Amino acid sequence: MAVNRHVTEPVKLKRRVLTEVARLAWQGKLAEEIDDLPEKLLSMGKERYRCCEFKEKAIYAERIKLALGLGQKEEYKKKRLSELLPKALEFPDLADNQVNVINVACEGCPINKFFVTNACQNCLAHPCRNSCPRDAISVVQNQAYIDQNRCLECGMCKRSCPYGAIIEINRPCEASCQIGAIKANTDRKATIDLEKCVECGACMVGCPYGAISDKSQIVKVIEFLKTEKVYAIIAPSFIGQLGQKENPGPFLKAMELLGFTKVVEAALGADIVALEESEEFIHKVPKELDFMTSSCCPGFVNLVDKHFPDLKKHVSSTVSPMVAVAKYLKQEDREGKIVFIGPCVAKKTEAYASGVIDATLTFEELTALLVAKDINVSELEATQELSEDISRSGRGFAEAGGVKAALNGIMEKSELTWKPVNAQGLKECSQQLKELIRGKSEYNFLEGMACQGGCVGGPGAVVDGKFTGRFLQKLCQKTVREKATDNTVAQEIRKKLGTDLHR
Amino acid sequence: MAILKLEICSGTSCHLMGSFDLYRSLDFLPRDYKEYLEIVKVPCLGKCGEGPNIRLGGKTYTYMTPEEIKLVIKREIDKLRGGKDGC
Ligand code: FES
Repeated sequence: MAVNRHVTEPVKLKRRVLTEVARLAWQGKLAEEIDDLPEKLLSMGKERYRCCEFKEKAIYAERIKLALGLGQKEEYKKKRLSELLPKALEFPDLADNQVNVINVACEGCPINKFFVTNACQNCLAHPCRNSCPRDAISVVQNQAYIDQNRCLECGMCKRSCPYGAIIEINRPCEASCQIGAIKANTDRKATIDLEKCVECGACMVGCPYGAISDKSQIVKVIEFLKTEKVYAIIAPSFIGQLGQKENPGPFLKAMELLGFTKVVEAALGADIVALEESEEFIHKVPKELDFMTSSCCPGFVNLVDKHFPDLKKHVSSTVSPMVAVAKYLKQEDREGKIVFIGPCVAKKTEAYASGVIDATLTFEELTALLVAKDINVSELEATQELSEDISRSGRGFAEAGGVKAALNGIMEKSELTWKPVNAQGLKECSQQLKELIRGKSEYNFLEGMACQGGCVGGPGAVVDGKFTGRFLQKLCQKTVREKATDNTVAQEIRKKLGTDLHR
Repeated sequence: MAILKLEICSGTSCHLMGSFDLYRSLDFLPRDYKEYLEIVKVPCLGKCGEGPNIRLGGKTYTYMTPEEIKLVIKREIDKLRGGKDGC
C-alpha cells in the first residue's frame, strides 16, 4: 500500500473551509456572511502559510468557491463571493471536471529534474561528468553542478554517481498522476489535461500545498436535508471514517441526526452487481469476448474510455453498486432525494451522469457537515445496526481484490474457465489492460480499481486506508452471510430491476 | 513513579483535524517516556474549533500536530523527572 496518509496542514485548511461553509449553510447565513469568511478563516489555525495575508485570503476565496460547488472559471474571478452566491446555488458546475487546480495556491514547483545534493564528494572519477551526453555538468565550489539549460533530463548522471548524490525531482502532482494527466504550464502552474484525467483524485492527495481540490456539493445536500426526504447510500469504506473503529452504530445515528430518512449500504448493490456481473460473464466470455473487466470503479471505467477506447466493449455493462441501489430506491420512492457518500471523487461525475443520484459527498465532506452542525459522534449513544441481509463479499468490494473475491464465490461452481486478476492504481490497471490487448494475458477477468488499496484508499476518505481496511475486516468477521448468493433481498431487487441493471 | 495523564480528544471536530494522527505519532515516543503516560480517549475538550486538542496533566493544548505532541510530552515528563534522569 501507498505511504501513510496524514492530516497535513493543507488538508486541515480544506476541511476548515468545508466546515465553515457548511456552518453558514446550516444557519441559512451564506448570503450575509460569506464575504467575511476568508477573513474569519485567516484568524483560525495557528500558522500563517503563505507570504502575505492578501494571498492567503485570495486562496481561501477560491477554496470557498470550490466548497460552494463552483469550478475554477474565468468568469468567477474578481467577483465578490456574495455576488457569485445566487449563481452558485443553481449548482451549474457539478456535472464534470471534479478535480481543479487552484491557480493562486499552486506554487509552480521547480521543474529542474536533476539536482546535485550536498552528498556530492567532488570525487576524482567524476562519472557524472563523463556520462553526461551534453557536457552539462561542471564543478562549481567543490561540487558537481548541472547547467539546466543544457540538461536533457536523461538521468545518466544520477545513475552513474557512486554516492547516489544526484536526485531526480518530480513535481508532486505529476509524480502522483500515474497517467500523465497533469503538467506544468508555461507559467509553471499545474494544469490538468481533461482529455486524459480520470478524476481519481491522486493529485489532490499528492500536492503538498493543497492546491488541487474537488468541487463540493455540501450546500446542495444541506438544502435537501432541510426540506426534503433524503436517502443516503454509503460506500462500504464508511466503516471507521468518523473515528468509531469497526462500530457502525454511531455512524448510523449521526446520519439520522443530520436528517437522513434512511441509510442504505452500497454493499447491497455490490451483492446485486456480483450476481449480475457473474451471469454477464458466463454469457459473454468466451462466446462474445475473450475477457471482461469490472465496472464498479468510475476511475477505472474512465481509464478505459479515455486511454483504451478499443476496450470499451470489454467493460462489464452492469451498473455500479451505487447506481444499482439508487435505481432501486427511486423505484420505491420517486420523490425522495438520493445522496451517495463515499471516499471517491470520480463518483461525483458518475452519480451525476446516472440521473438517479441527486448529490454526492465524500466522507471528508460528510464529517464537515457533522462538525458544522455541532454533532459530536463520540458523544452519541447508538444502538443502530446494519442490515443483516448484506454479505461479507458485498462489503468486501471496498478493498482491492474484493470484486474478484465476490465473483470467485459465485463462479467457483461454474464449469467455465474463470481466471480473474485484480489491479490497483492506474499504473497497474494500465499494465493489465495492455497485456489483455496484446493477447498475452492468461486471465479472462480484470478487476480494476483506480486507487491504491481500492476504495478504502480513496482521496475523500478521512481515515488512512490501511486502518479502514482493518476495521472493514473486523466488520466482515461479524457479518453472517458469506456471499451475494446468500443475500435474498439482493436477489429480489435484481429481479425487479432487470435490464435496468445495465448501462 | 508519577504518572501523567494524556487525554486525546476524539470528538468529531478533532477527528476531522487529525486526532488519529496524534495517536499514531505516540508509537514513536521512546519507551522511557511512554511509561510515564496514561493515555485516554476523551469525547470533547471544549475547544472544538481549535483542534486537534489534547490535555496533558490537566493542561489543554490546542492545534496539536504529531510533531508538537511529542515535544510537549517530553518537556512535561522531563520536568517531572526533575531533569535528573532526562536524556
Ligand atoms: S471535539 Fe475536540 S475539543 Fe471538542
